[in-house]
Amino acid sequence: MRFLFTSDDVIHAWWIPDFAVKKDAVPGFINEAWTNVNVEGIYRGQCAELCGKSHGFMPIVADVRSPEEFELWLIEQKELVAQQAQQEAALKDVSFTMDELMTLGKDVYTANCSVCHQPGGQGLPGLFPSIKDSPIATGDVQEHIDIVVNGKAGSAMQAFAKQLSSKQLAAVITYERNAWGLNTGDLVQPKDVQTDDSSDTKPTIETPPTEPNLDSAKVIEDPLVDLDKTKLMELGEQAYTEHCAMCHQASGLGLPGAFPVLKDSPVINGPIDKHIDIVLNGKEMTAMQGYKGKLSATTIAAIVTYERNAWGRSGEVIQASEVNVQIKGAE
Amino acid sequence: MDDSMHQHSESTDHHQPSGIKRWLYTTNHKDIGTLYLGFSLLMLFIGGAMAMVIRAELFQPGLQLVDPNFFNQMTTVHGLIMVFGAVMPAFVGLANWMIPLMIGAPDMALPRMNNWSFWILPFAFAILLGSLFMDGGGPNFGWTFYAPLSTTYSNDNTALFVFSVHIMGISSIMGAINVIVTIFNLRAPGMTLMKMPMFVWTWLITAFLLIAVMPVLAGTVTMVLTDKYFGTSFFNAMGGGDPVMFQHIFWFFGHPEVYIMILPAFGIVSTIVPAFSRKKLFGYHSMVYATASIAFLSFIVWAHHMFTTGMPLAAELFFMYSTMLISVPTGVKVFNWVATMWRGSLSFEVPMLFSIAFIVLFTIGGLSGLMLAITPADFQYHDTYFVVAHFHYVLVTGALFSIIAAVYYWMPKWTGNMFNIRLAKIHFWLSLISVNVLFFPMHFVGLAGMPRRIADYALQFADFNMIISLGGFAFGLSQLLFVWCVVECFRGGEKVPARVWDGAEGLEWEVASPAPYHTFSTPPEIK
Repeated sequence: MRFLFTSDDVIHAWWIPDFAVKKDAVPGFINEAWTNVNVEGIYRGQCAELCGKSHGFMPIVADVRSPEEFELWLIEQKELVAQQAQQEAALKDVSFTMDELMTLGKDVYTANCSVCHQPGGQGLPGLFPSIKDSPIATGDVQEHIDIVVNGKAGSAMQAFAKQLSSKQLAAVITYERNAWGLNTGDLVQPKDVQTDDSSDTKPTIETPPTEPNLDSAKVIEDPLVDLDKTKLMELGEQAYTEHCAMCHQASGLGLPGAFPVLKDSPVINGPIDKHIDIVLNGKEMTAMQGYKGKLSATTIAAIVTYERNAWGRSGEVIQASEVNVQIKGAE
Repeated sequence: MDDSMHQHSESTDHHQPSGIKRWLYTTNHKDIGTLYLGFSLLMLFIGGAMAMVIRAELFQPGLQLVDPNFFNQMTTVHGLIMVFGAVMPAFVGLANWMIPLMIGAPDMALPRMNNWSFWILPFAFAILLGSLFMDGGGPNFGWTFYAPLSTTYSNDNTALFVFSVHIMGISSIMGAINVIVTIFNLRAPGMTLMKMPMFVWTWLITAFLLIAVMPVLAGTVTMVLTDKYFGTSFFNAMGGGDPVMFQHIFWFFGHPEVYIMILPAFGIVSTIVPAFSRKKLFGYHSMVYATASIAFLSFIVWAHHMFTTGMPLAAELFFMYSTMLISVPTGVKVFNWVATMWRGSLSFEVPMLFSIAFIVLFTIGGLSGLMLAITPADFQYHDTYFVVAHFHYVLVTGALFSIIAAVYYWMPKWTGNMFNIRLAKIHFWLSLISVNVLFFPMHFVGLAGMPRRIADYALQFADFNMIISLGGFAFGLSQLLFVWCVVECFRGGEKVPARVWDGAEGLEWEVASPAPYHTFSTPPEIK
């Protein structure tokens, strides 16, 4: 495995004790290191070079998988990005009310901004500027969007474009302009934030919403390649063990009284689209959750294929494209 | 002849100002030595209080007492105070007191500069400590103030930190010049260089180190200043600079600085061990050459602090081998101390106890340093508690223990009174036990993967950290006994003869106890 390190702000050090690899991430320079990991699994470490007040709170996680599994993971990630892009694109035409934005904005603010700017927006004198008394929060909306999305060079204010969705960005900006008695009444919608992105020419500030528009067709198509039954079954068994077996049990027999039997159940013997639907959207009023957005179409197709072919039954092969049709159909 | 008569009359008539003016205007090496030592004791407790805050916060996982930003200020200022405020002024104080007495000089060669070099120190530390109470807080980027954390991302009070370091640097340089000029010009007739006591030798070499590297530190902080406030880009890649260059410059100062803090300690131990072994120091010449070799090597090892910054392999190898080379002269020293004790007529007075503890514990710190020198191993150890354990073993059980040993050794000469031996022995044993409870487990948490300078840690480190903190509190409290002993000794006690310790050798034991205000107005003759 080869690692490349660099930094956006100060010097950090990437360290996972189990790898015995520690390398500084130096802003403006690229460092390199490599290691061989023999055992798959999750490895943890943390930043080892004093990098500011949150130095003790910078975990590092390496999820080590075999090359084959990595390929699958990559496909799944691409698909999730594409799905996210679809959702973001859909947001373009949606407007939210002030209440919706303020509620979401408060959560986003607490999670991302309040450590420095403080819950009351007053900042910390000499360290972090106040938002409450700042011309940014009451002045031009575009400038406000710009500073949140792109950060402020030469300060601790980072760019949030890559970290928050356009809806979250819109909400937090709305919140900052209307909380703490500011009440400017400005409503920032996701599309305002997105427009700002696409007009920006800096390559570093590309966000998922703008990026896939051109390539989306390609990105989505790739993972929807038909797989043969053996591959689907293999993938399906893995995913089933990981996501379904906890309740429905590896044997498909469920736990009587708590979780229903899958083996020979009407769901599995019945129509395929109903089966896909229950996996995608879950079943109301039960513990069965929807896996749409959590698992890729390929994985869902594999799970459904597995469920219909395991436990002594021989049934249909379901491909990702079919699942995708149902995802789209619902929207 | 007239001149010496005049000086003689001065030593009997005390027509110096009294009260505060005596201390403000004094040019007497003994007064200034006392000022330095008192100041460093005060700083030891201020820096120690910060260490207590750090250990209290780390007593349990989670954030209980302070926020992480304040925690970082504590680690930073603790380091700065202990290095520049406690250890270095203590050695300068000992130099002031003892070098003229040891070489038979009437005073330091540049007494007015001596006064000035002390009296700017309180201002430097007032600025540094004052910044803790200002909006934005004190320096929070570690005592190593790596750019760009200390430039682009530091708080507005960084200028105060820079000026404070400048003043400390000026003070150190003046102190060093004074030591060199005194040793070269004011030795008593017959005292050749190779007859000088080891403490004088180690200080002479230390003074050269100081003159060589303190300007480098001044340059570093000045570049930080201009990067932060005047738009230069020494350490900013966006303007063509290099953040790693900061570390090269800083450690070119920083590594010799390590030896500035330990060479005088070697001198002290080389003085005390023969006194209580009732033998001459074994291998005096090799001791001098070993000290000089360490000083030379200290200039070509700096990048061993930077193995993880991504250096070329050749550089990593060079700095690994040159660092390991230092263990040779250091090993010579340890061997000589042990050989001095070999078949000696040993007695275990308090200064000797601290010196023996120094030899054993400093060696532990030296060996962990050798582990850190190995580049591939350092990838794992770097910036962990293992490093913290290492440099506290060499600085606390090394430098600090030697200073305490020196104070117990010469305090009867300064005051004319014996200290409370029973209490001092309790102080020794409590310190010895607690300091190991404090620092030894740090090796383990470091190897287990706990990084340094974090305010909160993963749960698996909890038990060891609790033990470390308990050791820390015990060590901190034990030092109150030291203050008690010192204060009691200055106030009175059993009177001591001129030669306080029967095995002690050197000119300082020829003068009365307490040492008269002016000594060696007529230089003694060295045979």
